[in-house]
Amino acid sequence: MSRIECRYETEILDAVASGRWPDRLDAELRDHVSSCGICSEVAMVSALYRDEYASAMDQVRVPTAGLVWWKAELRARREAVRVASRPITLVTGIAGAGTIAVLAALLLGYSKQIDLAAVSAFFLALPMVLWLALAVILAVTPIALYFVYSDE
Amino acid sequence: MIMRDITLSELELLRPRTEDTDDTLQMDQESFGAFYERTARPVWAYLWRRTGDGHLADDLLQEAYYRFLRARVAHENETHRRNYLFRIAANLVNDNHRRQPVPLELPEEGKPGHPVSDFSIGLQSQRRADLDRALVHMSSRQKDALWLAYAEGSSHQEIADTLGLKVGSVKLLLFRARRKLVKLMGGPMVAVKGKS
Repeated sequence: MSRIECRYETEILDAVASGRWPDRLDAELRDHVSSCGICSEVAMVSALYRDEYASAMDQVRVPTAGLVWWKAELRARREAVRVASRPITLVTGIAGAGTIAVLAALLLGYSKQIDLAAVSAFFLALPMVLWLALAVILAVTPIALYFVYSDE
Repeated sequence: MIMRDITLSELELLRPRTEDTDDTLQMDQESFGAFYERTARPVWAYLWRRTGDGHLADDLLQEAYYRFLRARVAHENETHRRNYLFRIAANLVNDNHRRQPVPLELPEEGKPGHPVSDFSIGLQSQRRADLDRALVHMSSRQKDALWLAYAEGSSHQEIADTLGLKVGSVKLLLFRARRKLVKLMGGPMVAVKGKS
Protein backbone atom coordinates (compact mmCIF):
# COMPACT_ATOMS: atom_id res chain seq x y z
CA MET A 1 0.00 0.00 0.00
CA SER A 2 1.33 3.42 -0.90
CA ARG A 3 2.18 5.97 1.77
CA ILE A 4 -0.53 8.43 2.73
CA GLU A 5 1.39 10.50 5.26
CA CYS A 6 4.90 11.72 5.92
CA ARG A 7 6.57 12.42 9.25
CA TYR A 8 7.60 15.88 8.02
CA GLU A 9 4.01 17.02 7.44
CA THR A 10 3.73 18.78 10.79
CA GLU A 11 6.96 20.67 10.17
CA ILE A 12 5.69 21.78 6.77
CA LEU A 13 2.42 22.95 8.29
CA ASP A 14 4.33 24.84 11.00
CA ALA A 15 6.54 26.45 8.35
CA VAL A 16 3.52 27.59 6.34
CA ALA A 17 1.68 28.82 9.43
CA SER A 18 4.68 30.77 10.70
CA GLY A 19 5.43 32.31 7.30
CA ARG A 20 8.75 30.50 6.84
CA TRP A 21 7.39 28.81 3.72
CA PRO A 22 8.86 28.99 1.12
CA ASP A 23 11.68 31.49 1.45
CA ARG A 24 12.93 30.95 4.97
CA LEU A 25 12.73 27.19 5.04
CA ASP A 26 15.81 25.40 6.37
CA ALA A 27 17.88 23.52 3.81
CA GLU A 28 17.10 20.04 5.10
CA LEU A 29 13.35 20.53 4.94
CA ARG A 30 13.65 22.23 1.56
CA ASP A 31 15.51 19.22 0.17
CA HIS A 32 12.95 16.88 1.63
CA VAL A 33 9.98 18.73 0.16
CA SER A 34 11.50 18.76 -3.29
CA SER A 35 11.75 14.97 -3.20
CA CYS A 36 8.58 14.08 -1.26
CA GLY A 37 5.27 14.07 -3.16
CA ILE A 38 3.18 14.13 0.01
CA CYS A 39 5.02 17.08 1.55
CA SER A 40 4.99 19.12 -1.66
CA GLU A 41 1.22 18.61 -1.83
CA VAL A 42 0.80 19.47 1.85
CA ALA A 43 2.86 22.61 1.36
CA MET A 44 0.91 23.72 -1.69
CA VAL A 45 -2.52 23.04 -0.24
CA SER A 46 -1.80 24.48 3.18
CA ALA A 47 -0.31 27.65 1.65
CA LEU A 48 -3.41 28.03 -0.54
CA TYR A 49 -5.73 27.58 2.40
CA ARG A 50 -3.75 29.92 4.62
CA ASP A 51 -4.31 32.65 2.01
CA GLU A 52 -7.96 31.67 1.78
CA TYR A 53 -8.35 31.84 5.52
CA ALA A 54 -6.70 35.25 5.73
CA SER A 55 -8.97 36.58 2.95
CA ALA A 56 -12.06 35.11 4.59
CA MET A 57 -11.14 36.62 7.95
CA ASP A 58 -10.85 40.02 6.25
CA GLN A 59 -14.45 39.64 5.12
CA VAL A 60 -15.85 38.53 8.47
CA ARG A 61 -18.74 40.60 9.78
CA VAL A 62 -20.56 38.78 12.52
CA PRO A 63 -23.41 40.08 14.67
CA THR A 64 -22.82 40.62 18.36
CA ALA A 65 -23.13 37.72 20.79
CA GLY A 66 -26.01 39.56 22.47
CA LEU A 67 -28.02 39.71 19.27
CA VAL A 68 -27.47 36.05 18.45
CA TRP A 69 -28.41 35.12 22.02
CA TRP A 70 -31.54 37.27 21.95
CA LYS A 71 -32.72 35.75 18.64
CA ALA A 72 -32.08 32.24 19.95
CA GLU A 73 -33.94 33.01 23.15
CA LEU A 74 -36.89 34.43 21.24
CA ARG A 75 -37.04 31.42 18.94
CA ALA A 76 -36.75 28.98 21.85
CA ARG A 77 -39.62 30.74 23.59
CA ARG A 78 -41.75 30.66 20.44
CA GLU A 79 -41.11 26.95 20.04
CA ALA A 80 -41.98 26.35 23.68
CA VAL A 81 -45.29 28.14 23.17
CA ARG A 82 -45.96 26.09 20.04
CA VAL A 83 -45.25 22.82 21.87
CA ALA A 84 -47.36 23.86 24.86
CA SER A 85 -50.31 24.80 22.65
CA ARG A 86 -50.45 21.46 20.83
CA PRO A 87 -52.79 19.76 23.35
CA ILE A 88 -55.04 22.82 23.24
CA THR A 89 -55.15 22.56 19.45
CA LEU A 90 -56.01 18.88 19.74
CA VAL A 91 -58.79 19.42 22.26
CA THR A 92 -60.16 22.34 20.24
CA GLY A 93 -60.17 20.17 17.13
CA ILE A 94 -61.95 17.29 18.85
CA ALA A 95 -64.49 19.62 20.41
CA GLY A 96 -65.12 21.29 17.05
CA ALA A 97 -65.55 17.96 15.28
CA GLY A 98 -67.87 16.70 18.04
CA THR A 99 -70.01 19.83 17.86
CA ILE A 100 -70.30 19.57 14.09
CA ALA A 101 -71.23 15.88 14.35
CA VAL A 102 -73.93 16.53 16.96
CA LEU A 103 -75.36 19.45 14.99
CA ALA A 104 -75.38 17.38 11.80
CA ALA A 105 -77.14 14.52 13.59
CA LEU A 106 -79.76 16.87 15.04
CA LEU A 107 -80.37 18.55 11.70
CA LEU A 108 -80.66 15.19 9.98
CA GLY A 109 -83.00 13.97 12.70
CA TYR A 110 -85.31 16.98 12.39
CA SER A 111 -85.29 17.14 8.59
CA LYS A 112 -85.86 13.44 7.89
CA GLN A 113 -87.76 12.55 11.02
CA ILE A 114 -85.38 9.72 11.81
CA ASP A 115 -86.81 7.24 14.27
CA LEU A 116 -84.24 7.07 17.09
CA ALA A 117 -85.85 3.90 18.38
CA ALA A 118 -85.21 2.31 14.99
CA VAL A 119 -81.55 3.44 15.12
CA SER A 120 -81.18 1.87 18.57
CA ALA A 121 -82.81 -1.30 17.34
CA PHE A 122 -80.40 -1.36 14.36
CA PHE A 123 -77.35 -1.18 16.63
CA LEU A 124 -78.79 -3.82 18.94
CA ALA A 125 -79.41 -6.11 16.01
CA LEU A 126 -75.99 -5.47 14.44
CA PRO A 127 -73.56 -4.70 17.31
CA MET A 128 -70.59 -5.35 14.94
CA VAL A 129 -71.20 -1.95 13.33
CA LEU A 130 -70.77 -0.24 16.68
CA TRP A 131 -67.60 -2.24 17.45
CA LEU A 132 -66.26 -1.40 14.02
CA ALA A 133 -66.81 2.33 14.57
CA LEU A 134 -65.08 2.05 17.94
CA ALA A 135 -62.14 0.21 16.34
CA VAL A 136 -61.77 2.94 13.69
CA ILE A 137 -61.68 5.62 16.41
CA LEU A 138 -59.06 3.64 18.35
CA ALA A 139 -56.93 3.23 15.24
CA VAL A 140 -57.20 6.83 14.08
CA THR A 141 -56.61 8.50 17.47
CA PRO A 142 -52.92 7.52 17.86
CA ILE A 143 -52.23 8.62 14.28
CA ALA A 144 -53.89 11.97 14.95
CA LEU A 145 -51.94 12.33 18.19
CA TYR A 146 -48.69 11.50 16.35
CA PHE A 147 -49.29 14.29 13.84
CA VAL A 148 -50.15 16.72 16.59
CA TYR A 149 -47.10 16.00 18.76
CA SER A 150 -44.46 15.19 16.15
CA ASP A 151 -41.99 17.88 15.08
CA GLU A 152 -42.50 19.45 11.70
CA MET B 1 -67.87 44.78 33.02
CA ILE B 2 -65.55 45.94 35.78
CA MET B 3 -61.85 45.09 35.40
CA ARG B 4 -60.41 43.79 38.62
CA ASP B 5 -56.98 44.91 39.88
CA ILE B 6 -54.03 42.79 38.89
CA THR B 7 -52.06 41.34 41.80
CA LEU B 8 -48.30 41.40 42.24
CA SER B 9 -48.07 37.63 41.92
CA GLU B 10 -49.93 37.79 38.61
CA LEU B 11 -47.52 40.48 37.41
CA GLU B 12 -44.67 38.15 38.33
CA LEU B 13 -46.20 35.49 36.10
CA LEU B 14 -46.31 37.90 33.17
CA ARG B 15 -42.62 38.75 33.46
CA PRO B 16 -40.41 37.11 30.76
CA ARG B 17 -39.14 33.90 32.26
CA THR B 18 -35.51 34.00 31.23
CA GLU B 19 -34.52 31.26 33.66
CA ASP B 20 -36.80 28.84 31.79
CA THR B 21 -35.22 29.83 28.51
CA ASP B 22 -31.75 29.29 29.93
CA ASP B 23 -32.78 25.71 30.69
CA THR B 24 -33.78 25.13 27.09
CA LEU B 25 -30.73 26.95 25.69
CA GLN B 26 -28.26 24.72 27.56
CA MET B 27 -25.82 27.55 28.35
CA ASP B 28 -25.89 30.79 30.29
CA GLN B 29 -25.58 34.07 28.44
CA GLU B 30 -22.18 34.95 29.84
CA SER B 31 -20.58 31.62 28.88
CA PHE B 32 -22.22 31.84 25.49
CA GLY B 33 -20.81 35.34 24.95
CA ALA B 34 -17.28 34.17 25.67
CA PHE B 35 -17.65 31.08 23.49
CA TYR B 36 -19.16 33.13 20.69
CA GLU B 37 -16.28 35.62 20.74
CA ARG B 38 -13.83 32.75 20.30
CA THR B 39 -15.71 30.91 17.57
CA ALA B 40 -18.01 33.20 15.57
CA ARG B 41 -15.39 34.58 13.21
CA PRO B 42 -13.89 31.24 12.11
CA VAL B 43 -17.34 29.67 11.81
CA TRP B 44 -18.58 32.57 9.69
CA ALA B 45 -15.44 32.38 7.53
CA TYR B 46 -16.05 28.68 7.00
CA LEU B 47 -19.73 29.22 6.16
CA TRP B 48 -18.95 32.09 3.83
CA ARG B 49 -16.20 30.21 2.03
CA ARG B 50 -18.31 27.07 1.65
CA THR B 51 -21.46 28.85 0.49
CA GLY B 52 -19.95 31.85 -1.30
CA ASP B 53 -22.80 33.99 0.03
CA GLY B 54 -22.41 36.44 2.89
CA HIS B 55 -26.12 36.69 3.66
CA LEU B 56 -26.53 32.94 3.66
CA ALA B 57 -23.49 32.68 5.93
CA ASP B 58 -25.19 35.11 8.34
CA ASP B 59 -28.36 33.01 8.41
CA LEU B 60 -26.48 29.75 8.81
CA LEU B 61 -24.37 31.25 11.59
CA GLN B 62 -27.50 32.13 13.56
CA GLU B 63 -28.97 28.69 12.87
CA ALA B 64 -25.74 26.93 13.88
CA TYR B 65 -25.61 28.71 17.24
CA TYR B 66 -29.31 28.12 17.83
CA ARG B 67 -28.94 24.38 17.23
CA PHE B 68 -25.81 24.36 19.34
CA LEU B 69 -27.64 26.06 22.22
CA ARG B 70 -30.61 23.71 21.99
CA ALA B 71 -28.59 20.49 21.76
CA ARG B 72 -28.54 18.47 24.95
CA VAL B 73 -24.93 17.38 24.61
CA ALA B 74 -22.43 17.16 27.45
CA HIS B 75 -19.20 18.72 26.19
CA GLU B 76 -16.00 17.38 27.72
CA ASN B 77 -13.97 20.50 27.00
CA GLU B 78 -13.68 23.61 24.87
CA THR B 79 -12.25 21.69 21.89
CA HIS B 80 -15.14 19.26 21.94
CA ARG B 81 -17.60 22.15 22.11
CA ARG B 82 -15.94 23.89 19.19
CA ASN B 83 -15.80 20.70 17.10
CA TYR B 84 -19.48 20.15 17.79
CA LEU B 85 -20.29 23.65 16.58
CA PHE B 86 -18.31 23.08 13.37
CA ARG B 87 -20.11 19.79 12.91
CA ILE B 88 -23.45 21.59 13.04
CA ALA B 89 -22.15 24.22 10.61
CA ALA B 90 -20.89 21.55 8.20
CA ASN B 91 -24.25 19.75 8.31
CA LEU B 92 -26.08 23.01 7.63
CA VAL B 93 -23.88 23.73 4.62
CA ASN B 94 -24.38 20.24 3.25
CA ASP B 95 -28.14 20.37 3.81
CA ASN B 96 -28.21 23.70 2.01
CA HIS B 97 -26.24 22.29 -0.92
CA ARG B 98 -28.62 19.36 -1.16
CA ARG B 99 -31.55 21.75 -1.36
CA GLN B 100 -29.80 24.15 -3.74
CA PRO B 101 -27.09 22.24 -5.60
CA VAL B 102 -24.06 24.34 -6.49
CA PRO B 103 -23.58 24.95 -10.21
CA LEU B 104 -21.00 22.76 -11.92
CA GLU B 105 -18.96 25.79 -12.88
CA LEU B 106 -18.54 28.76 -10.62
CA PRO B 107 -19.24 32.19 -12.06
CA GLU B 108 -16.25 33.99 -13.49
CA GLU B 109 -14.51 36.37 -11.18
CA GLY B 110 -16.15 39.76 -11.12
CA LYS B 111 -19.55 38.26 -11.99
CA PRO B 112 -22.37 38.09 -9.42
CA GLY B 113 -22.16 35.03 -7.23
CA HIS B 114 -18.41 34.80 -7.21
CA PRO B 115 -17.35 34.69 -3.58
CA VAL B 116 -14.25 36.81 -3.95
CA SER B 117 -13.86 39.71 -6.28
CA ASP B 118 -13.29 43.13 -4.80
CA PHE B 119 -10.03 42.66 -3.03
CA SER B 120 -8.36 39.86 -4.92
CA ILE B 121 -5.83 40.96 -7.46
CA GLY B 122 -2.95 39.54 -9.43
CA LEU B 123 -1.54 36.13 -8.74
CA GLN B 124 -3.46 35.62 -5.53
CA SER B 125 -6.69 36.35 -7.34
CA GLN B 126 -5.81 33.89 -10.09
CA ARG B 127 -4.95 31.20 -7.59
CA ARG B 128 -8.20 31.78 -5.73
CA ALA B 129 -10.18 31.54 -8.94
CA ASP B 130 -8.37 28.29 -9.79
CA LEU B 131 -9.09 26.99 -6.31
CA ASP B 132 -12.78 27.85 -6.62
CA ARG B 133 -13.03 26.01 -9.92
CA ALA B 134 -11.18 23.01 -8.54
CA LEU B 135 -13.35 22.83 -5.43
CA VAL B 136 -16.48 22.53 -7.54
CA HIS B 137 -15.30 19.04 -8.50
CA MET B 138 -14.67 17.90 -4.95
CA SER B 139 -17.08 16.33 -2.49
CA SER B 140 -18.46 18.27 0.48
CA ARG B 141 -16.58 16.01 2.86
CA GLN B 142 -13.30 16.62 1.05
CA LYS B 143 -13.88 20.37 1.11
CA ASP B 144 -14.74 20.28 4.81
CA ALA B 145 -11.68 18.22 5.65
CA LEU B 146 -9.35 20.47 3.67
CA TRP B 147 -10.74 23.62 5.24
CA LEU B 148 -10.55 22.23 8.76
CA ALA B 149 -7.03 20.86 8.29
CA TYR B 150 -5.35 23.67 6.38
CA ALA B 151 -7.39 26.81 7.07
CA GLU B 152 -8.44 26.09 10.66
CA GLY B 153 -5.31 24.10 11.47
CA SER B 154 -7.36 21.36 13.16
CA SER B 155 -5.68 18.09 14.12
CA HIS B 156 -6.72 14.76 12.60
CA GLN B 157 -8.54 13.94 15.84
CA GLU B 158 -10.46 17.23 15.77
CA ILE B 159 -11.44 16.72 12.15
CA ALA B 160 -12.54 13.18 12.99
CA ASP B 161 -14.73 14.54 15.80
CA THR B 162 -16.20 17.23 13.59
CA LEU B 163 -16.95 15.03 10.60
CA GLY B 164 -17.90 11.95 12.60
CA LEU B 165 -15.11 9.81 11.17
CA LYS B 166 -12.23 7.73 12.47
CA VAL B 167 -8.76 9.26 12.54
CA GLY B 168 -7.51 6.72 9.98
CA SER B 169 -10.33 7.67 7.62
CA VAL B 170 -9.48 11.35 8.03
CA LYS B 171 -5.86 10.72 7.03
CA LEU B 172 -6.98 8.88 3.92
CA LEU B 173 -9.63 11.48 3.15
CA LEU B 174 -7.08 14.29 3.41
CA PHE B 175 -4.54 12.42 1.33
CA ARG B 176 -7.02 11.84 -1.47
CA ALA B 177 -8.49 15.34 -1.25
CA ARG B 178 -5.03 16.94 -1.41
CA ARG B 179 -3.98 14.81 -4.32
CA LYS B 180 -7.17 15.55 -6.23
CA LEU B 181 -6.95 19.27 -5.53
CA VAL B 182 -3.33 19.46 -6.63
CA LYS B 183 -4.15 17.54 -9.79
CA LEU B 184 -7.14 19.78 -10.54
CA MET B 185 -4.93 22.82 -10.08
CA GLY B 186 -2.38 21.52 -12.53
CA GLY B 187 0.17 19.82 -10.29
CA PRO B 188 2.21 20.87 -7.28
CA MET B 189 3.69 24.35 -7.32
CA VAL B 190 7.06 23.24 -6.05
CA ALA B 191 8.10 26.56 -4.66
CA VAL B 192 11.25 25.08 -3.33
CA LYS B 193 12.84 24.40 -6.67
CA GLY B 194 13.45 28.07 -7.04
CA LYS B 195 12.78 30.79 -4.56
CA SER B 196 9.29 31.83 -5.53
